[in-house]
Amino acid sequence: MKLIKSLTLVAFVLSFIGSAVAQDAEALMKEAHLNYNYAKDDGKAKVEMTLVSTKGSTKTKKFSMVRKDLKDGGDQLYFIYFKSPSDIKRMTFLVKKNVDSDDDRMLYVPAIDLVKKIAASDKASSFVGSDFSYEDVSGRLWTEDNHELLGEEKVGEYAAFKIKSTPKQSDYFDYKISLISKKDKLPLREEYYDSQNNLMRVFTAEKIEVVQDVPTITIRKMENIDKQQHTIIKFVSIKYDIGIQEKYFSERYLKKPHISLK
Amino acid sequence: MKKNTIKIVLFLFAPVLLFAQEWNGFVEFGLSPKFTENKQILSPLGQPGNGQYYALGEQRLQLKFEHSSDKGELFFKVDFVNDNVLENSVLNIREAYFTTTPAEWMDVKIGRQIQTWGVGDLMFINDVFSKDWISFFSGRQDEYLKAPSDAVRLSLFPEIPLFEAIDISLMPYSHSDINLMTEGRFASVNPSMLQLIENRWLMPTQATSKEWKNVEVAARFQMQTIKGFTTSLYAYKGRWNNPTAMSFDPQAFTFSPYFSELQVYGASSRGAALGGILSLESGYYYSEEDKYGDNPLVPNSSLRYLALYERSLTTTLDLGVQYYGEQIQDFAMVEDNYKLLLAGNMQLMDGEALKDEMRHLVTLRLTKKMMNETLWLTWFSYFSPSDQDYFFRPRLSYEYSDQIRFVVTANILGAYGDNDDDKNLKDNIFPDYHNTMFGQFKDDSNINFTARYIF
Repeated sequence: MKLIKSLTLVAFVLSFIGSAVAQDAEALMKEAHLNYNYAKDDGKAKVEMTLVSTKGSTKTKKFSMVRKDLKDGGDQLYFIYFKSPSDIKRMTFLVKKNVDSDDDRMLYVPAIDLVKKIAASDKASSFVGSDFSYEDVSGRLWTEDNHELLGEEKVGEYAAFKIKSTPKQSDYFDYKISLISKKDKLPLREEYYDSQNNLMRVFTAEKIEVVQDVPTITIRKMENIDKQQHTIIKFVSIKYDIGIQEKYFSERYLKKPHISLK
Repeated sequence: MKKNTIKIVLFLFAPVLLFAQEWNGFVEFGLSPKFTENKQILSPLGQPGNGQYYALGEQRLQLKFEHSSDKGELFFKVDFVNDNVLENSVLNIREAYFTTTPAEWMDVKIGRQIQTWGVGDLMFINDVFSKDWISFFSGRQDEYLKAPSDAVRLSLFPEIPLFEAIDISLMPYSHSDINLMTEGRFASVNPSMLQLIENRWLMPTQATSKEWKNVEVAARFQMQTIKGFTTSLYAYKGRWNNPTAMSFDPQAFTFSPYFSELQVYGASSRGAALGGILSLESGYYYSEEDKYGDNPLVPNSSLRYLALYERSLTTTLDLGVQYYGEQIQDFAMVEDNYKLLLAGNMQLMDGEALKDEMRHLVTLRLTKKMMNETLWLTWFSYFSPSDQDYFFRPRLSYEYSDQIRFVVTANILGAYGDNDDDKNLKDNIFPDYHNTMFGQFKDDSNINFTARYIF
């Protein structure tokens, strides 16, 4: 009986510490960023990206995506192997996300054996024609914004923290309201506003599944309010810690992708 | 004849049928009416050719097939084309190769393949592989500018400091640019050439024989990226891609164009700079059969260089500007020869006398992506103030659905100034008239409409 009491006490203290940490908005956003973008050391998934226009017409692209973290919260490598539509099939795309400078992007067009470096000064540009930007795909660094905890709110069945993030330097949005789930510390919803308080874009985590003990957002949606359209990204066959080698993220394998990258 | 065709088709499809994997490709309809009639183009029977009115009119089926195993990959791409301008149907194997990795430090690609290197934007210096400019001028997809070559390509990745990769391409027989001009699609209005033809002095082009001594070798040494810049060195030994040299038979007084020997040595570097991507490339074209520039019938050596700057202006608008320069070596010799010719002390004219010592060219690319990158508006132009000619290539391409694409491309070729002066043609024996890359095709300007269904 005594043991149970002391265990309860320990649990109580632990949970208190936990919530005290969580209430620090910046720490919370950092944790969400790491959970969302840096799960384990690497990961691979088959991706289906569908853009749904105002009139309901759809455009779908399918590709494989492999990620490798060079440092948690730091630089990352991404390799994308396109599968459909067939005119972009076999095309590959390599992104080195540099935290301290512009990303390095390289595209390979097999039909003309062309390796092309792509100017990457604008992180807000669309990711392969979708409503997601490059930054949405690789994640916005938490240190770029000031964060303020506004309170708590429920998103469906999930209890969540509500946080307002304001860019330290002027950016393509004025502020962002995020709802971070208490349980998994993952973004459930993000609303981007302009300076007139108009809602511009909404991100929602449509589905969360546990993959190799990692809670993972497997269906992600980005809505563009102005254009009245949205993009849905579905991740399937997710695998973490596949032990992918750094050397595969090079021009050699861009032109001749290793089987583990396809 | 028919039996053979069936056999060839069966032979080609055997691997596809055997593996019976997913088929990909497209069906395409392309039509390029010309802005004006080009009366130069005649059919083999001397009648007005279809090429007088159309630069292109074709239906194309492309099939792609791939097969991978743990040891390598096979890739196969074939185009079936029915050509209404040339009035024929052809089967083009665009790619047919396999790749494998015999050692950790080596990749091998064997077979018919498209090869590209260098850093220019639709300008090529160290990329000595075959091109098909007429295809490009007549509005086909950009990928058809690159013609395939049959090659064994070795890519080595030695653990040597500074070196990233060494590529060696062995081409067992000499390759050249694809020149459909003579087939009645485009016509160059080159009066000195016309004079040769009219006098029956011009003989058919001599193909390069498939002997061992004509094996072509191209190599690239890619260095490790330093401070974001990737530098490569290049070397090539083979032949010019166009039959610009002539052999002369003084007895019969005939000229036979042929592909003379060429070596190219060059370097390139590319990296992020000035908020965009900066690319630099240069190459020395060493014309082996005209070492001192004194042979009027063989092209001189030349020095070529380019600088390209690309950046995004907004999230949906990209810019690319490029300068390209070409300097003819031993130009004093060319001028001396010309003086001798005018004084009657020389019988043959140096073709280079029609050119300037320096050729300057600028290109401009603007790409606007609209409607979620389903509508692309592209402006690409070549403009040469020294040649006084230009090629404007505005394009609109639209992805109507995941399967259906529509493309409209205008191909506006032209000349201006002295180079567009009709008086020159009448007054001079050897005028500059239209003797330049784009200007010569000014009567072949066209607008291309393409519809494509991909699967």
